Amino acid sequence: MTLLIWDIAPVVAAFLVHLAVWRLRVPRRQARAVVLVFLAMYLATVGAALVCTLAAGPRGWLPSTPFEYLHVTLFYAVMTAGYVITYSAVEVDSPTLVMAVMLMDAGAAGLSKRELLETLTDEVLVVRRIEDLVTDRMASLEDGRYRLTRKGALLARLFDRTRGVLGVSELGG
Amino acid sequence: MDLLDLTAPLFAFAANLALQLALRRSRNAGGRAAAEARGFVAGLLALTALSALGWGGAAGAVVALGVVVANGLIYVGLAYGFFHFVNLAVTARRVRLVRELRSHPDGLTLQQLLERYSAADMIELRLGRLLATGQIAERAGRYHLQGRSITTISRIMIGLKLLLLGRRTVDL
Repeated sequence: MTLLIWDIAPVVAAFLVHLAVWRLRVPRRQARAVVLVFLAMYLATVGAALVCTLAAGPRGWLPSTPFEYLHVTLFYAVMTAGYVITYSAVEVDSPTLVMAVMLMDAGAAGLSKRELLETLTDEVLVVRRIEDLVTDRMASLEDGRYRLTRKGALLARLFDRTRGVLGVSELGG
Repeated sequence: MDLLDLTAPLFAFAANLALQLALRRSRNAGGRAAAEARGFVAGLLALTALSALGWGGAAGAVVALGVVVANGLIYVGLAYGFFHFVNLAVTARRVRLVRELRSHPDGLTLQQLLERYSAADMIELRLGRLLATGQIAERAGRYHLQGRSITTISRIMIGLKLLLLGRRTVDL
């Protein structure tokens, strides 16, 4: 059970530190800050345990073999990646979830497409995301035209390839 | 803990991916959701088989149970991450926008971008997906929530936002 505890405890500790930091002040570049908090907590917990093991030899309450440390690292990396993906929907509301919440709030009356569009406008849904591309240096704005930067082109190529492998033909969005 | 214990969730995830890709390529009935569900079950079966193969040994049942639970969590985490990665490739606004810009190396003005991808297009696409998966229903031109999963996911996200940011909604 030591291994299971060492798998789970660093992730829980990282989440608690992340929660404490966010309660004090939400960072400007949130996703990046989440990754940094989780990375720092990995070093503070698993890294410290490894140093203890290397310095003082195996202890019953610490992971002891290279396989155990790799397992703890794999667990931590997978959970961190899953959380960072989930956090993207905390940082910026997904239009689908916003629509779901609007329909939930509307109750039995429901909503028409026109009523949805009154709240979910181009300015709210599209223009802010275009501005984010510029802020995150994925696109540049010159002479009134948006162009992809190298970083943006890399992202586009990655997802184009992924869509090709998955056989996705719909435009999406 | 040996190499099999360490790699079992990775092999299970590989089985999941292989079946998903095969089903997608064969344009299976049921589409994306069915391929994801079948792939997930296939991976779970592979993980169960690998766990049975490596069960016990010198370490004993309690230690082995801990490894099985941890590997189950790793497998679910991998499947969850991949599910969201695919979702990003298909539905993310940012991905749609960079793909639009990629196909126009000379760039696009804001107006041109909005002609290709507007809020109305987005709502149309997303209502279509929610209708197709039975999450919402349309009656007399009005949309109503019907599926439980979208309501549950929305409540979880609202809970996380309240916990972390102290707000119900943030920024679209």
